Amino acid sequence: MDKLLPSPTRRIVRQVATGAIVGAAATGLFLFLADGKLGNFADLSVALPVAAGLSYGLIGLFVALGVAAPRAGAALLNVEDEAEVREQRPMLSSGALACILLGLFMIELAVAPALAASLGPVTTGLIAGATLLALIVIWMRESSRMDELNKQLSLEATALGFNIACLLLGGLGILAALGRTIAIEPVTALAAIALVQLVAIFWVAGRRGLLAPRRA
Amino acid sequence: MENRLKERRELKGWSQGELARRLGVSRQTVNAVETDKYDPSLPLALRMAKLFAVPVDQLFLDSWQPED
Repeated sequence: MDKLLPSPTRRIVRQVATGAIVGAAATGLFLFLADGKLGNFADLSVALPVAAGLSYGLIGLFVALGVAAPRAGAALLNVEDEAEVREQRPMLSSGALACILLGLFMIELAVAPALAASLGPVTTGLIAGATLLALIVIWMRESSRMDELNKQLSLEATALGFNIACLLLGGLGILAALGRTIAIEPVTALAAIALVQLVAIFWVAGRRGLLAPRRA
Repeated sequence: MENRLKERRELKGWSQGELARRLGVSRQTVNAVETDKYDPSLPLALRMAKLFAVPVDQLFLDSWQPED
């Protein structure tokens, strides 16, 4: 395939493939370590939020690693050089933290019944509530920091994600109402929205050519 | 939309980072405009034109012509 694709496309394909392999490996490791103690992972209402949580969490860790080590970050993240990583540090740090918190929140929701059984429903609710609150605070602070390109990308990705989620979840809802399929759990719908939004962000950025290596 | 931002910036001897700082946007935004990946908003286009002291239509090129 390498010979068939031009260099920038090859790099994107490699990055996406690496991300998919790391994500799949992390999911496998998580399921292995959890060993059924945190819920039934064959259940879509557990597996999908875990997959969404690990996807966001790994992206967050990846960006955080780039921010912590700007030289490595210049190669890992789509920036021109180390100096740009340093310039963008506040925004990248908040973005990384938001991704990690969203990932944690999705995993907390996925394993909530198991957590409630060991910690109690009140503590489980408080943990999830605190994570969500932190996420909202970071999101609000981050929104005021975004420049217009990032705002535009966010708008486009949100619109695309909303349309896909409506089609997907609306379609499933119609089929369930007609008795053609079983209704999905609310947490499954939430995880589907999170995953669709993630795909939409990459799609919107990729369509504009913003995932390709920069040329000055 | 095709633009002459890079030429104007280089004439001033500014880096993308320097231009981004003067415009109050990220370096990524300046790069995206210069490489035709993003058309700036009208306020940002006006700010760019003001910074280089040229009319907007000398910075951003549009081949559209009104019909008679």
